[in-house]
Amino acid sequence: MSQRLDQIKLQELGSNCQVVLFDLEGKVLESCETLLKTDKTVPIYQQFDFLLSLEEVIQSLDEKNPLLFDLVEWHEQRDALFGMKLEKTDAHTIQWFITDRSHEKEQILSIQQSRNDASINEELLEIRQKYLESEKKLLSYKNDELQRVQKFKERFFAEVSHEMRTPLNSISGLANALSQSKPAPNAEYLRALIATSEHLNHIINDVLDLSKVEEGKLQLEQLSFSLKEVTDVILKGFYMASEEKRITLKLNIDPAIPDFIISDPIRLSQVLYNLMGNAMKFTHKGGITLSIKLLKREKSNCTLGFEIKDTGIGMSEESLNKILEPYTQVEGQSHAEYGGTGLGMGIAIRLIEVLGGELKISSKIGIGTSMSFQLICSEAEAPNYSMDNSISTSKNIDLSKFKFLFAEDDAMSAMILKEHASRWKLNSHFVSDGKALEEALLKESYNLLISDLHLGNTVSSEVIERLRQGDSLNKNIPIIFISGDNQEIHQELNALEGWSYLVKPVNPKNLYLKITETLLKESEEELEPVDLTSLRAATLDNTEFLIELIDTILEHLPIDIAKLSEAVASDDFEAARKALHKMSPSIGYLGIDKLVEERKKLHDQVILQKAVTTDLGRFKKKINKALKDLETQKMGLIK
Amino acid sequence: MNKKIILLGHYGVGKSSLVRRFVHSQFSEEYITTIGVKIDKKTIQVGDTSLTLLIWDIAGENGQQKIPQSYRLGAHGAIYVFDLSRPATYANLEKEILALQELIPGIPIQILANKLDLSSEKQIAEVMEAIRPYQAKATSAKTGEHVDDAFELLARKILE
Repeated sequence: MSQRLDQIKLQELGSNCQVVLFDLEGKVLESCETLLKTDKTVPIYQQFDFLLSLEEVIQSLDEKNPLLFDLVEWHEQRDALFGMKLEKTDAHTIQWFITDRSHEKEQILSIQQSRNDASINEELLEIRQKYLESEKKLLSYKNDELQRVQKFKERFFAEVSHEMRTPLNSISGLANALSQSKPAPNAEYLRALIATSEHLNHIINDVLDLSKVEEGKLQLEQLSFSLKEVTDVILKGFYMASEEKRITLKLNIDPAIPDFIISDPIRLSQVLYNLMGNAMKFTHKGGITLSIKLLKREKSNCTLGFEIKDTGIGMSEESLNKILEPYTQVEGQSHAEYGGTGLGMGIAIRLIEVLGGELKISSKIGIGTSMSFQLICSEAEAPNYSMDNSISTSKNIDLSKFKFLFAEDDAMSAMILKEHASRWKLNSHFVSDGKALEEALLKESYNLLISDLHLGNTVSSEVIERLRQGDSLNKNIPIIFISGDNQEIHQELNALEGWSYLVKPVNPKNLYLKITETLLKESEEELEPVDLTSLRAATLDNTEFLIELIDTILEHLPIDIAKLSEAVASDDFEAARKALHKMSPSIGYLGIDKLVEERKKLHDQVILQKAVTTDLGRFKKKINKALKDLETQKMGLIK
Repeated sequence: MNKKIILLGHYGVGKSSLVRRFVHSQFSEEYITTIGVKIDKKTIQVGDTSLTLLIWDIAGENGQQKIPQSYRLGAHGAIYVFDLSRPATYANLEKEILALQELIPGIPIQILANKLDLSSEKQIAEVMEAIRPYQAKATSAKTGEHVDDAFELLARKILE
């Protein structure tokens, strides 16, 4: 390299670097003083902290291994960013080479700061991610726990309800039986006994229903009943209390309301009972009026307006809001003073919502409260539900010509059923366990089975399932199951056909109505014989062809029916529709209008994806009868 | 008497803030990264000894192997700082300390759990449990809590 180039380099870089030579004791030998000033009279270690902290290292420095410091934030004599090199050049001399890198400081700082910030942000994101994962795990755990509690609650309610309803059934039954016994018992005690059992029943229903409403599992019944009868019974329940409190109790029913309506009388009663109960609790003078008005009528649909108005203590706005919460009593109205589970209003409000209405409350402290709601129902011709326990013998059906089989393992419940059967003059046989039930069903033909769902260790529906699959005497016997459980618990019943269900405690009149309704349906199912007119016309009166066609129907219709049953059992509505469509010509050829109508009805129902289990049972029975008749007529043709 | 001590640890854990608090009794919320190394000094009295600590505040790295050996040479003691609120800064504590002990054998090492002001007692207890068997002194450069104690503690260990 030429001297000229060295000169240029020195000019360009010389001002950015400094060389200091000092001995091991720190005595400055030489320094160009470009960047830092040095003092030859003072050891260099005393002049710069940087070197002071390296004194021991410098003194033991190896000639071949210089010390390198790429970047040092320098604050002695001046603020700068230096690069440094300390090198032992001979046994006594240290060369300290300093490069000024201050011009790079901003750039290095920017790069390093960005890198660090990004890295710290990444860490924070990771922490957040871990936190979210933990939250998720916690939520999942909470969810599992809630489900576990929910399942426990469901099972607990189901078991408790079953356990409570069986003795309650006995109390109700005994009270009813006692009321009709002669000589008449003490009427006052009897009323008290009945009222107590009914009250207990209401509490149990409130607890269970609130749980079901919360889970969205409450199913409404669609029964026809007399609104007047229902409200009369409810008001009767409050007469004694109103007399004691010396307050009036009035019922105003709009005469325009139809005699019988279709809705859920049990839930409606619960609502009215709870709202009336609440009004009764907080009314100490004046009275309570239940008014029901017909607000709108369109064809058979009616909108009814219910109002319970009292002249009680009234509620503040805050109390009005609180009353909507379950398990709470309005502030200042102590449990000791007013009693109750605190569930009544909550369940009433929720039941009204399930029934399609909304409870409106207006109240003034010291003046009274008005609670109102609307309900849409439809008009009915005759009742199939009653709250009245008095039973008049049905004019439509003579029960004495039927044979009844009762199965009940609880001695008290069996005694009550025997009492009813005797009073209704039923030709009945009683069994108390599953084995006896199975034997009785195989031995003798019955028209109706009324059975507790649990007979000791036997589930009676399992006995019925075996019976239906076989070819015994009572293969198609209609059944009324009685149980302390709610029906929805027993999903296994969906696979069965030809049954209905009553929950304990069983109101005797409802049992009676269920029995007559079932038997009436059965008798309505008496079929007219197969009419071969269509088949004859189709075969141009060719007997041989006619027999061939009958054989085809006898062979294929049971197959289609089996496919239909399978589809219905598995909720495959499309397969059910196809099966019903396929069997249409065969059913048409049987010449029985009722069957043609029923097939069409079933077809319409499955298109709408409605459950057809009960109707299907009847339909199958009729088809089987018709096929037997067809077989008989075929034999006649062959002869 | 002069003693070189080095401050090590991940970036952003508060090493420079600890030095600033200890040497100048100041604190700033602003985070400015250290470039290379910055040297400060403070003279303290340890018993009868007046001791000048030459503090090498070395730019933070997420691994000590990235720091040139020359920065550590001649150190009489080391302070390893981590951030109580950032698990990544103490996740590999054992590895970092062992590596440090291997590079500069025999020097005392004081571990500081900084940003005490940002953590609850429960969190601190959890971190202390997590770093066992190592023990750290919780400090706050922001409030100054335990900062002087921490440096003095190391100074005592150096003199021992």
